Amino acid sequence: MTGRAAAVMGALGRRPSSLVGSVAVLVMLVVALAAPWLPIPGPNDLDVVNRLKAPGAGHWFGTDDLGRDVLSRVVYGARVSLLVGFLVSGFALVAGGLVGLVGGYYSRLDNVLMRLMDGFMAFPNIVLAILLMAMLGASVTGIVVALGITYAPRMARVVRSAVLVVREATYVESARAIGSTDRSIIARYVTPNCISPIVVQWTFIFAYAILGEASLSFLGIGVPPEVPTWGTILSEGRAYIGRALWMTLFPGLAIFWTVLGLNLLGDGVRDSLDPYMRKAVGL
Amino acid sequence: MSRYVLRRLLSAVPVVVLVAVIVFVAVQLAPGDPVLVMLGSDARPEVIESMRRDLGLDRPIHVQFLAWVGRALTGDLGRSLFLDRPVTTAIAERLEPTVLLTFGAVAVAIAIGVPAGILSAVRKGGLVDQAFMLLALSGVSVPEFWLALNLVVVFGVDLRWFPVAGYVPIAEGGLLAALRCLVMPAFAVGFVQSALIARMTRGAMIEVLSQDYVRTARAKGVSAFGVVAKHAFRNVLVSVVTVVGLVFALALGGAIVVETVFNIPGIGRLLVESVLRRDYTLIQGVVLYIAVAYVLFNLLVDVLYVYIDPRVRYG
Amino acid sequence: MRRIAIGALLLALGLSVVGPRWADAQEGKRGGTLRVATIGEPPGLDTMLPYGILAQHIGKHVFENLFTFDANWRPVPMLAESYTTSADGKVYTIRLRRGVRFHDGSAFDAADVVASLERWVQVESTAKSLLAPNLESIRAVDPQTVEVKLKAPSWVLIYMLAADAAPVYPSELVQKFGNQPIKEYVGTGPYRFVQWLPDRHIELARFDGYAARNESPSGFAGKRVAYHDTIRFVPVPDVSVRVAGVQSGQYDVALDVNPDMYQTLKDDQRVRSLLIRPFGWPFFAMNKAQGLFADVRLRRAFLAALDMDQLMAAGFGDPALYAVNGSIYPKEIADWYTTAGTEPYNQKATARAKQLLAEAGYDGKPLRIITSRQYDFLYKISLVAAQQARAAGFNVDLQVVEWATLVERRQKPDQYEIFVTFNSMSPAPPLYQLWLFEFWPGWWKNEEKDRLLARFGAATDPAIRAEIWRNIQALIWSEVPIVKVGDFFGYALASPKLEGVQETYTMPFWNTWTR
Repeated sequence: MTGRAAAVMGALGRRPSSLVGSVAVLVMLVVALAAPWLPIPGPNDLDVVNRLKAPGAGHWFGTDDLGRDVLSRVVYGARVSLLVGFLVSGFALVAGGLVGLVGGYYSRLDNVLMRLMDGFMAFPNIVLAILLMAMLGASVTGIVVALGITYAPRMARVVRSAVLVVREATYVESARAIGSTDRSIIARYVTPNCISPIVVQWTFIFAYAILGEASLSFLGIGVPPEVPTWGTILSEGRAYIGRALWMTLFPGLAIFWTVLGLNLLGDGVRDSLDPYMRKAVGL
Repeated sequence: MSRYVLRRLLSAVPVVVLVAVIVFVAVQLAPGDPVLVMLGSDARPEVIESMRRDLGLDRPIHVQFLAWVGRALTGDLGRSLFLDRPVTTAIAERLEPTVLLTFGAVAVAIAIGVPAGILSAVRKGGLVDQAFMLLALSGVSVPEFWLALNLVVVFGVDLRWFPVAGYVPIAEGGLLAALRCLVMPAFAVGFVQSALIARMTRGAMIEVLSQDYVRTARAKGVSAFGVVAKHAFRNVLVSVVTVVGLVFALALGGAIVVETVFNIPGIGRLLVESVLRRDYTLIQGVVLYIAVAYVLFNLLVDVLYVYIDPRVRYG
Repeated sequence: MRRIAIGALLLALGLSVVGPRWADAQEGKRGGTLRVATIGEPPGLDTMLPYGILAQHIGKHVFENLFTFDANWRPVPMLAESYTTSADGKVYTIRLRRGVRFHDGSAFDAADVVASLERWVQVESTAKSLLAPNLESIRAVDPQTVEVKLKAPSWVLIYMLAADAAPVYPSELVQKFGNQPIKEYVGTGPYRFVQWLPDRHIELARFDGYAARNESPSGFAGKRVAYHDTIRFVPVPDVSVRVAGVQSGQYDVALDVNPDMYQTLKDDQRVRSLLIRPFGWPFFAMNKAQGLFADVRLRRAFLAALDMDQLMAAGFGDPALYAVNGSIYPKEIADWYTTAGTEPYNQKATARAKQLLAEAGYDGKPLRIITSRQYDFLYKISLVAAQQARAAGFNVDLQVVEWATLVERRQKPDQYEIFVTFNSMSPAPPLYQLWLFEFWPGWWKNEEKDRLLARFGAATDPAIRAEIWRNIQALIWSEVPIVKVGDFFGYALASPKLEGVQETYTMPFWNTWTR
């Protein structure tokens, strides 16, 4: 396990792009975590008198249509957007990973599980999102569940393919020959060997989740209003492209920065994968 | 082969049934009443009640579901509560722009993705490679609607090359007018997907370029172009088919965001509007259509693999 | 009476003008298609049903009423020729115009009016709640005469007949559809319905058999001329795309433009800004039936905390697009405008609100405000109001839901304290304000109010009516069944080539032409 992790880390070091990517994501993460200690106004501090002020001293990123500080909203938006990314990719990792692992290892369950995954993938997430919002109210939970259900099957597929490859590997066969139980084989051989493809898929799902939240917000189906996310900031600012470009520019850049970072990171790890495995899992 | 296809089709049945059940239950559980949306909040209770009765919404949910399934099996998906026409008609009306948009997006994705992938593979590690891959990554790193809105401002308003929004069906303005409406939307959808194609093409190309015979040919100073083109073609095709299948499966279900920005009356708009209005029968019909289209396209892609990649066999 | 239209030329120069500028029907040019970008689509065009402003706007071109409003927002005959009232004020005898035809070629007569009005008092909320209980009979005296008998005199009748919700349909259609939504759109208007392609457009075309009135146009009244061959109402949900469409010449009119865009667009040569005043007024509707706000002291505390200048600025941005006004009616509707009792409006008194809360023994129970993003301004106003209420010590629970959910939830007294909504401009007298009545969500029960309303309805002297209305308005500001936030104006864009536009609520496109 540690050896694999080391290989991933080593790959990061060798590939400058993945290093750049991880630094970009890390920087955003630090900013997000440090938000309450930064010398910025609250993200929901309304100041109608100072609405639509251009970037300048006092408001580095300008103010929005309700006089809220755009910098603060982008920084606090990072907290929620990254959280959504984490939760969605985490949900996908746990649910999809488990299904993939079981499906890949126990071929009798494989067909049933994969058809189930097909069902979820075929279900338009927008319908799910709108209905969940109607049931739960606008909430981060609703977004996470709607996006998570949509992305989990992707993770399941990747994990399943990776497991299929590993299952046939000679060291697993020999382990089985000496009488190891399924559980110990999964824990000791299968799971560690799937780490790299999982990491790659995880970064991509993380990135998709951030964009997905933005799209849902654009369609007016998003998190509660007082929770700033990059998506809500962007969609609120879109009517002001002609007059207050800063309202959409900065959240747009924040998304770009983070998603690009995640993609670079994922790409780097992917390139360090064993080519055979890469082909098998379709990354 | 035909046995494989048949088996896959059979195994798709529970998938579709599952989707139908989920959507039926979810839609009914969610708050919001189509009759209230239709009649407005100030409507009188008696009017509301009589309308509910007329629409059959006062029956228990399982009765409604079974009735729906019974009719669906005969190809009758019911009538849209709002659009005052059969659900099948409503879907058929929206297919034209969505199908054209899908093909357009695929064309854009291939036109950008394949050359970019090949070029960066040939110049692997070089500046061109880095630049193209960065561009491709940028494509997947911006929200679609942000790209779309900026396209509107630049090409619609400032340059006036294309209509800012809307759609003219072929029957009214001819194919050219229809396509003109779809240039920007197709670009917005296709650009994002081109990154995937570029990435996969690049990988496939690099694999071919590292083969012994290509290296030998290159070492001999012979132009490797012919060799590469011949061998790379299949590899590239596999990656293209994969992504194209993905795009089809996604976009045929309606590129919801892009259709909304560009005001294209396609499947995606139909779906969103139907959910927001709680047009129960229409939601069920559209979701069913999307699920079927998705399953069929995935099957088609898998079958295509057999023909283009000799290594793939299905029992 | 103040202007309701503003000269386009002077507006382009950034000046405002006094006095109406009505189209001169003689100078128009026929032909062409008018393309109007709208925010969406109405559920239907049967304007007797509460389908909203867009349905009324489109329907206005297709259907006509017995009466309509002139430039002073007073009802005048449209399909009616004239009317007389009996001495006791209970019998209205309405003479109909001759030679009017429906779009299907059939002749318009008293049978159509009777059928339409009988349906109207059954399906239209206001008519059903306010008129039906007082209605004795509607009958055709002869093909050109209709007689409406009331149990008690009510001068409101003519106003109600002039409102958008009282169109005259052919009697055959009324029989065919009964109280269900009518789905064949046949009227007597200058434009006839051609087709509706969902998510694409609603198309109207000139009705060649239209029988216009002779009087020169005033408001919605007088001569209507269809210059454009066709009108297309195109749903374009994204506001920036609607605007871009007019800028690029793809659309001729964009409705529902974001008021914050006024600053950048007012000097844009490619478009003409249209300010539609009055247009509507947002308000907080209080749940008086149960929960926190059943206690009037808490309602007053909430009102005290509000700063309407900020709320209106948040909702509508540019001061050119709103007025901070505590009169239920805007200044433009002079008959009903009054400042009586408006002192509690716009107090900006956080400290006083705190004190009121303490006196009422407020224990920190959540103040549930339901709002929606369906209308951007309502959402923004809700945000700022929530902040102001919190500053006063309310424990605000702001719930943002879909419009469909809001509409459903506001019927349930256990679900909320406040819902945020708005009323569109209505020239009708105060009796037409549904929130005054007990059946409307929020459920205002008050004997004093009922007494005043009864007297109001019976008063024949306009001066006495105005006096009673002043008392009602004062009662509203003291009992706080709702809180009016202010008046906002509509903002729309038109192509500079479009002539004859009236900057008025549900602006008609007859009498307009493209240069």
